[in-house]
Amino acid sequence: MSDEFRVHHCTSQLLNLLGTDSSVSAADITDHLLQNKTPFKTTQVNTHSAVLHISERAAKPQEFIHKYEELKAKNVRDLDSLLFLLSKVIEDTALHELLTKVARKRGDAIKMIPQLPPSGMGSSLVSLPPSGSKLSPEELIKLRNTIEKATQSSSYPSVDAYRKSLLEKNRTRNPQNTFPTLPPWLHGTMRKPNLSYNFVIKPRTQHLTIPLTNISVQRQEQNVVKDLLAILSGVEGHHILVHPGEETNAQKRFIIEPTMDVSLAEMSNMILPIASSYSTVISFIEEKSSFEYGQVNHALCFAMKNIIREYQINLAQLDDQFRHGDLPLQRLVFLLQPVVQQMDILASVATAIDLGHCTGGAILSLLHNRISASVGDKAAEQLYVYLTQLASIPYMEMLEKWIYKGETMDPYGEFLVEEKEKISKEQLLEDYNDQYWESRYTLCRDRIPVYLEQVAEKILSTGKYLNVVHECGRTVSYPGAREIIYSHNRREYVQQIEQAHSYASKLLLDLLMQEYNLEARLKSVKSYFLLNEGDFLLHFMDLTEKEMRMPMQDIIPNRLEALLELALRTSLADHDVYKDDLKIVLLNYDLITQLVRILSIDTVEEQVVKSLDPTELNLTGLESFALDYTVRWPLSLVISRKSLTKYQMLFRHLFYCKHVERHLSTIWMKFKSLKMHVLHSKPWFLKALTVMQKMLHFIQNFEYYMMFEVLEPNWLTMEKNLNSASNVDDVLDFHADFLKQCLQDCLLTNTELLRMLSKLLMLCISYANYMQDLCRQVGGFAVSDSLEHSTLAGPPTAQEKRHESGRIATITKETTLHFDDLASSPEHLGLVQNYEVTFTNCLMSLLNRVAFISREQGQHCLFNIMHKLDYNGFYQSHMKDSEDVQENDPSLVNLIKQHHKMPVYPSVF
Amino acid sequence: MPREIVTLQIGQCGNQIGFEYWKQLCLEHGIRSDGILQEFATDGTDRKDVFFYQADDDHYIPRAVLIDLEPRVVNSIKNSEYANLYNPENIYLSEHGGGAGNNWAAGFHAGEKIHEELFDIIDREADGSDNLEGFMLCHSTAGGTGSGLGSYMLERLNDRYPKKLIQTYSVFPNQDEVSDVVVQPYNTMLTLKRLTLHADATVVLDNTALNNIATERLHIQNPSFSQINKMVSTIMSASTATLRYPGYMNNDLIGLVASLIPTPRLHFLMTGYTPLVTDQALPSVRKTTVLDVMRRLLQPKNMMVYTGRERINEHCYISILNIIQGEIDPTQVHKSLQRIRERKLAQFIPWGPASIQVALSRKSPYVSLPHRVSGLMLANHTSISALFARASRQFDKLRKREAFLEQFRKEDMFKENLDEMDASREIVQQLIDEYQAATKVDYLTWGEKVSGT
Repeated sequence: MSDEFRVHHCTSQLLNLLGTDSSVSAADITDHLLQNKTPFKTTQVNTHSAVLHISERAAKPQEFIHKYEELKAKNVRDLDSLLFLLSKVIEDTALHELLTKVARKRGDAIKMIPQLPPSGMGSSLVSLPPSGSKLSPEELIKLRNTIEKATQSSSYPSVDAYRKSLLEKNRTRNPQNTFPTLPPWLHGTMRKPNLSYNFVIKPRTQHLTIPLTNISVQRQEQNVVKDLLAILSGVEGHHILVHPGEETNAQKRFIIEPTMDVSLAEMSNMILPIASSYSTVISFIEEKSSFEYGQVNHALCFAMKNIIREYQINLAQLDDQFRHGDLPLQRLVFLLQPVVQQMDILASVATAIDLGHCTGGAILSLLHNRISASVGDKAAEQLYVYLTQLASIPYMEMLEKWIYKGETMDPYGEFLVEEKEKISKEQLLEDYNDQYWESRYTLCRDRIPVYLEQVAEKILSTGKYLNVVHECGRTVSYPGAREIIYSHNRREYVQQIEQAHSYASKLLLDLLMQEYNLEARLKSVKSYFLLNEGDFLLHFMDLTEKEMRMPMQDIIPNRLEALLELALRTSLADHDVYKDDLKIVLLNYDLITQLVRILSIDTVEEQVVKSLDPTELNLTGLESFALDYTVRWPLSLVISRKSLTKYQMLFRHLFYCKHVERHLSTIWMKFKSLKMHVLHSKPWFLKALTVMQKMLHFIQNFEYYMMFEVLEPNWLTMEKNLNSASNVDDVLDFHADFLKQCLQDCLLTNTELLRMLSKLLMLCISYANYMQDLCRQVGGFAVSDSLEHSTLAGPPTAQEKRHESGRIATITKETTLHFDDLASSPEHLGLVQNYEVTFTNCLMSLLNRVAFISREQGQHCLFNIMHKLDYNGFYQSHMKDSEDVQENDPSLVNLIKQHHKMPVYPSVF
Repeated sequence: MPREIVTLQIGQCGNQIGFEYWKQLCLEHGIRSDGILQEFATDGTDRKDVFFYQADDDHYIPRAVLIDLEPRVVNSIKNSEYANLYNPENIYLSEHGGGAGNNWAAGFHAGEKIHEELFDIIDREADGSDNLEGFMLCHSTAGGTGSGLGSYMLERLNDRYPKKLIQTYSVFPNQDEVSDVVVQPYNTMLTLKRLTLHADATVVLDNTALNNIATERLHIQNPSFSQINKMVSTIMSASTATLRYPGYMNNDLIGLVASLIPTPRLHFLMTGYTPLVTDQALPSVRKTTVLDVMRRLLQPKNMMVYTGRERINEHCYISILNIIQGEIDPTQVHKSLQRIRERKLAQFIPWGPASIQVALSRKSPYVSLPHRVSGLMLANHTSISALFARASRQFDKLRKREAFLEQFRKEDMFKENLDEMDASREIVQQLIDEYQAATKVDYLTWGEKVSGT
């Protein structure tokens, strides 16, 4: 759903921006897009060719590529897809022209070309404006300057500020777990400048290079080599100095004594890049080794340090040779050749990471991409692989821990799964949402290394499953657990992850299904909440008749509990091993109010409904009663508070219908003795009985519809699905679908239908009350206290019996008189007719509405109501007769008012 | 607190039916002939306590009262293997042992004499149940005891337990053959009056139709009593299936009956059952889809009431309840209902909503039947008036000639005049008229016209 909305929103925005006429509607496009959506991932497109393509056409390819690299370094998602799109745009000349036109128009309008939809990055900034810009050159330059400034400042914040932000982030994420702090002399303003392998720059004591004017070339060479060796290990020489005025972490430049022999100076220039790279690397290592940068950074630093150590050993050997006097500058240059590239690579990695502020997964993505980019360059590739393998070790360890054990161990916020400890499993029983399962562990998109992107979801669910098993107090030991090692080409780790995933999903599924017997649980819940075992409910209703009539405040919950217990023990439910988990709650809102409230959210009626004061309602036991069920972890994952509430709603709905049926049946019982009389001479009485029959017919068929055409088929489908489910997410989905479908088809999700339905039910109840009243007026045709019920007093004596039969005779005589009186009263005839008309109208408008909805929205199940309630076409033929069906008949309100205040539950026996 | 039902078996026929019925129930619940629950049935998911009470942990006794005025049938029960099933205190045999001599009046008057003893038994049964729902009475309308004593008991029960349901399973005599009981038409008419006025629901079992079904459908030449009774017991056990195997709906008798009977007098129900099998014959029905079962149930030839051809003409269903047993997919039921509706296989009353209600019930796990699905139909059909009309015609024939009335005049009720007979005839005529009226649109205002003229 939300997906659809998002797509629709984006489409309409795009249409708006492009200024298309109204011939195309966003909805159509949305439909088209959604229909043609494929699981194909655009991240897999060949970005390399796209980049080439764009840069070939771009006016300033350098700038574009630079920008691209920068964004890439930041591990920006969807960058590849965007590039792909851009290259397509460039290929399609018609589209290109159109965009240019639009751009021009918009450029005229607000002079802000870079806001154009497909721009957003370098290419349009570079390629689009020249093609159709009317901006004056000055303006363009100004614009570019501002933009450059903006990007500059955003990409080079000071290191300290960044570190602070990292620390801050961590503090909010995980307040109790603080990093160990480094001593102040190592970091920050107090740091001792000489505690570093890097060049120490003291701007104030900047000295000049010592001129070499009077020295022979041979001497010069010796001095230069000496200087170079110093410089290479991060110390300034005499004749070659670090360019002053640079920031500490910027790339170093060097000043070579101008009087130096030209050939020597040139050769020095060939070596100096090493020094500058070295400096970059060293500053990177020293910076990123501090705690807050995370384990991947640490691991990478370690890998770099290894290389630096090699390099230093190398230098030491060179120095040794120099001291023995056989290291001419030429030889030095020759020997250092391989190091140039090596250092360059390290420095570029360091710079990229610095620029992108990468941590965790982003670093691994970057390295991975570097490997891919260095195909053909064996040395570079090896180096990258070395770096990546070492850098990925801590990450892979986290991964192992997660997918083999279901634990997170991520102090620096690097891992792709984030845990929110605030959300505890106990909330499942309290909160009305699925938050635990949905949000306790979430994927962090920008922490996923590229090569794990495809399996990220799997990784998440694997750990989630294992975590649940853990929470059940079980130790998880995955027999197939092996170390996960990164490798660029062989995708072994994917296989390992998949194996772990299938193991975990099976483990949890088995745990739920077998050990915790989910299916039996659900069956048990069904038998109580969906009234599958009718005898239990029947007993319970028999037992609690009095309680149900009482106002909610007067009911003693303990007594109700005891009666529930009794009903459980004496019915078939006694066989259910889970019966003790059933509980009773008295809610202070009735079902209709509850549902209307839920349904009215975000509608106009919301305020009206909210303004109703709940305390005004004087609820009886019947209206406030609901069942509850104790669910324990881990079943509470499936039967959470949210789904239990849905079950509860269904139960209350069914319960109320049952109550109405029962009430009507009771009245039927009272009037059964009427067969002694010749009824057809009292026509309105016949009518009265048939009205009741209509109601009974309605309620029974509606119950049948709900139970056998909604609940049972949906249940069977779910049962089948559950058996085929391969993981717990499926199980959750199937269960949620089941409840959703049931609620919908029982008319509980449509305010309009629900209102009509509740009106009908109220009408039934009030009519039953009216009939009961009638019964009382007649006085005794139901003999109030006969012998049969005084069981406690022992069997009736012979005398009592004789007395009784006499009494019955007189009562019968009187009753007949009363009855004849009553039957001739026209007032009742009117009332009954009124009831009949109202009921028929109500029912017909419900049928009409249902027919409309099922036609319009294709909810075919609803259509079954029509068939059920009007099997012989009685109402349909009526509908043709009277077209003008008034829905809000004022008489209805009166009728209900008149009779609804009476006790809802009649005294049955 | 189950809704218990006490069964009263009155007369020869009543006891024979009852015997078969209890045999069937014992089979279905896994109870041995001596009332002990079998090993395999100890944790069954059925409700035995509606019809049985527990004497011990695993000893079940039927809530049945056996009443007869002559000892033959009851003695044969006592000598059968089911002798120890019943509570001996619940068996009442007349001291004289003479029987009612096929005379309604004799049976009725015997009732006046012995009703206190009978009600001692019934009261005890009623007291023994937590929440008695009603009585089931098995009898025939032809003989003396079942009709006469049965009529008496109906009247008394109605006075004594006005708030309990009284359902009867009434066997009507075979009107095709010449009966050995010549006063049968009188007996039937007098009983019909009581059934009309004092029973809440009467399941009509017409021997004519039962015989026809046995010969034509089951291909049994000269069907025996026990074969016919077997069919009756099948119907009885199926009609109580939803009470014994509770499901979503229809778990009490009132829920079954109330919607079938729109006005109190129109309470005569026809039954149909399919597929019927006998012990000897191979199953004659192989294909048993839900649709098949439901379609078959609507065919007149499967009805256990013979109504002649009239049924096809203007008569219609007031209500139908199909009890379908077996492992059924509810969507199948829905589809079948649609088909029946489309093809207009059932004609319904024009004056109110009516439908084929369906109650889905489980089957007993201990009785293996060759069929996946079986169905019972309880229908309130206006053509039942044909049965009453037939009975009336036969009654009129005898009454005109004042034939065979000596036996009746011996009893108090008919000593002075035969008014009771004529009163009965009038009540039955009213009943026939009402059923006829129910086929018309103006049924609800029909009374005005009648009383107006």
